Amino acid sequence: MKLKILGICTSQRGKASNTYFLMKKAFDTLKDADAEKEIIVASELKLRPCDHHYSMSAKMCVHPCLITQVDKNDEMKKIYDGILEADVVIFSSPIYWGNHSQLMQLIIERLNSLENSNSAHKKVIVKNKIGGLMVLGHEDGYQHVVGGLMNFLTEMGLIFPPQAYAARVGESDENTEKDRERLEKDELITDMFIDLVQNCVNFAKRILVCPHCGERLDYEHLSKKKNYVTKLNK
Amino acid sequence: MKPLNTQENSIKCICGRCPLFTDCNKGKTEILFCARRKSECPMDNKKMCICGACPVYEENNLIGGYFCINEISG
Repeated sequence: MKLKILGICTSQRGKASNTYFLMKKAFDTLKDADAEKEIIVASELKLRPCDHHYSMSAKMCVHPCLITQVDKNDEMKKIYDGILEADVVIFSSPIYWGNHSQLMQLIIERLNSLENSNSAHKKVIVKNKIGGLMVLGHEDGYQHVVGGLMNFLTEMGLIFPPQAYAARVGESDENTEKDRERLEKDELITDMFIDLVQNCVNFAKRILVCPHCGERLDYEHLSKKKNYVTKLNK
Repeated sequence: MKPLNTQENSIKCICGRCPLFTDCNKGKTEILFCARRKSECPMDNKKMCICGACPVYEENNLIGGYFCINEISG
């Protein structure tokens, strides 16, 4: 089974970031002939913030997103298409003041169109995909960040395996200059991120394709808001 | 379902109050884009669409928006 693994790095520093460094290292270390890998560096894309049309009417929040439909300069379609084509989707984010990056938040809000397709439009688009997370910070905590991201990403439709994130926080010493050196030298840290990717891939192989007959998983969950949808469509 | 191009719908139409609506649209007497066709004027897609707040939208169970740019077929 050929797996498509997508990484989406949401550090504003892009390829210079430690978040990208660890994601790239983990992806490069994965030696799997059956895996097709891609990393999207979100800071390199022109991404318009969500216009929150949902708040005017849930029916306005559609996939493709209205911004994607009318603004050809916006590049969120690369992320939508990447997610929809992938079997495994791993997001990475730094931590700022106890939360994921502003770029991650922008992407989450734009991904509402995929989540809303299920809840308001009764059409499950994101399904049968595995999710993973990489989170990096200093004195801010990562468990809160991971919890918030998993909340949205599971609602969107990703399936998270056990231990579906790798995270690391540094010292509370206002000294970020030495972070890269530490990450390059400390194998205990990098191994966690490598294992996270491997974990997601192993899980994907196990549950996305039947090991006996080769049949692909085709599971579509019920919309827990189906009764609301009925009311919207009356 | 594409709304009907009727006087009744024209009265309900809120296109004239939209941030995208300009003197160009007014000059061409363009309204009720969802029932008619997209605008012939340049429309600023960076402004906020308000289609979802319109009674014509609600009554005809429309989805999406920017009908001044995205013409509804039918």
